[in-house]
Amino acid sequence: MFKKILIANRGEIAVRIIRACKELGITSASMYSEVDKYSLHTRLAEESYFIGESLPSESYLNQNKIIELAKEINADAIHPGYGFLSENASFIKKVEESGIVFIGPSSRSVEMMGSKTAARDLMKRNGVPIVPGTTEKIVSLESAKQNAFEIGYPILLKASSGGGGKGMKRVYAEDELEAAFSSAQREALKAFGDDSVYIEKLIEHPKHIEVQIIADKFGNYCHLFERECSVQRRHQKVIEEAPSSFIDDKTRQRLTTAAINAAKACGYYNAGTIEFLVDSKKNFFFLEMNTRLQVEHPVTEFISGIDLVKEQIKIASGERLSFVQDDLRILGHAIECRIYAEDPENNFLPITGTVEYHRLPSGPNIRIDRGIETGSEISRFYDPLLSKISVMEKRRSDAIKRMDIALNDYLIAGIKTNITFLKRILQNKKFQSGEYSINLIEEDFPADNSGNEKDFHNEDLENVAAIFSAYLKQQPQNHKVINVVCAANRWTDLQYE
Amino acid sequence: MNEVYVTINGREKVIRFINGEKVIIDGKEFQFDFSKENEFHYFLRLNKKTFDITKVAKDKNKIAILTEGNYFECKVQTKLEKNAETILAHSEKSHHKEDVVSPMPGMVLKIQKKENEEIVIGEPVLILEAMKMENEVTSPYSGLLKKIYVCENTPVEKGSKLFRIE
Repeated sequence: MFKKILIANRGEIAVRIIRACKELGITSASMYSEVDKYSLHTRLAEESYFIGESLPSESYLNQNKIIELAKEINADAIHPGYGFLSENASFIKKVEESGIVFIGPSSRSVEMMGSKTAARDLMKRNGVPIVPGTTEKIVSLESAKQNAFEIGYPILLKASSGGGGKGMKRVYAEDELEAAFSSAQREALKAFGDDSVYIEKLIEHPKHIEVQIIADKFGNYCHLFERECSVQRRHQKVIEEAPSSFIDDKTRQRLTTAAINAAKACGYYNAGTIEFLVDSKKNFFFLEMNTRLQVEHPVTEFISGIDLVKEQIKIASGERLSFVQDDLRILGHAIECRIYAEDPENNFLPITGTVEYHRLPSGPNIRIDRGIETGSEISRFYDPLLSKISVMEKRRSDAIKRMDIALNDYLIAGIKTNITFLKRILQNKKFQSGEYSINLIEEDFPADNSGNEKDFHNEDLENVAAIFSAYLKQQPQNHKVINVVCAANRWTDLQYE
Repeated sequence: MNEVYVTINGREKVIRFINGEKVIIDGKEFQFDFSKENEFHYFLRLNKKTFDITKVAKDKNKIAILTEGNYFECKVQTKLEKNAETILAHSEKSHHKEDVVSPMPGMVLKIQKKENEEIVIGEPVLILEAMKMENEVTSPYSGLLKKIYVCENTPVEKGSKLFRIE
């Protein structure tokens, strides 16, 4: 087993990995950028090292610095978390060549799945159904027009090396294509350093359902059932659950078999996720493979009872899977809500600021993954994900109830979040029935929030808000508010204004 | 005396504090108690129940709060402020002039409209890049795009002026 692991990430996922290291008796080493000097992940690790300025390209994306650091501190392995360098095949290759173990799949598997177009081609050859569209990247507007015409509108432009909705544009007619094409290319270049895009037929009203797989280096493959992640805004997941209430045993059998075939096709080991679009007739199409740990892995850990991060580390160190497929059963229904610093009434624009107060919900089968606490600075440099709440109950309806209460108990001051928005989704009839598609937010929650306020009118709470704000207004305004300006360096040089 | 006007979700409530324990909201009396844990976290007891309240943001006439999982943006005015606003509104009637400010720090990536172009409500004016995502900034009003304050490829702070619609 490893002695020391360098965690090449930040925020809640770095914290999650540090915990797994501690439980396995491995020394955890975290890295921090300028603004993260006193972040939670920096303080929780047994060792922490400065990696660079706050811009991701100077720090968490700086491949050579990270590898040098790992060598310098004698780390046996690097855990990339999700995002940043987790799916960067050239980084993984460099890690492999340096003699340090990468906690994840081989660079070869990542390369095979990293290009969306190559992956689609590979799946097609291995009998995994794919969404109709191009299997090659589109370089010119002319060729985009031609392909879009052949596939038939509506279409979806996607970044070949993409993920997380970046570089993805929906196009309903040819006159929208030019603007969408250049925007998709720009976003793709910025986010992934590669401006190639491809075209897929837009499957209307699909569900997003993905299968968690895990494999060791001895060719043992298992799946840990599916997750439904259809609640998305701007192609980013907001609420995830496991299992999917839409999938029956027979479909589950076919879906998980396809997922394992997909993983075998690229000689995969470690944890990975195969994403599918599922249409209303339960036909499923391969979307992409995420060759890393997912943000929403807690729901799978809940329903399977397997600690995915510990399993990842053991596999990377050369151990066999600690279980076989027949050991696994679905233990309940789990839901995760992602708490973002963002403004749902303003097109989900990210919000920056300081978390002035933070109180987390608690209770049976409520799990929190977080990278922040009171005093944390939410900067514009990184993803605005603050924390994740996951709950489990025997039945889905009870899990929804538990989550709703947990959201009520979540207190956070100084920064606006999507908490109220999440509650409204939980109360949505389509969501509750399970009959919803990836268009749920777009269809039922218009951007200007018109009409929503009436549906959720709560007289008691409005009275509370009214008394509170009126009371504060009446208070003498001359008391001096002390704000900690420099939260990044709280212990040594506090500054007051 | 001492009436405070609070507007929440487009509805106005009139609040009148009788003393430190009694308050009248739109003519209805409530027992209350107020306690401040710190600048950002308060307790409000209303009749039989105690509520946790956190302050999200505050400026002179606006307070945003979170309680029981619900965000509220409250516009708060004294009688004097309310009267002043009414007078102002009359004098500026039919003139909808407004500067649109940046909702977050970021980079102006692309300006899609030109000055003196007619803009319809909801139309994208420019693309703002933040956290690696392209965000369209749309016009909150219909009217004439009188002025664009920013240039492409320049960073903007939260609250800085982007453009003006008249």
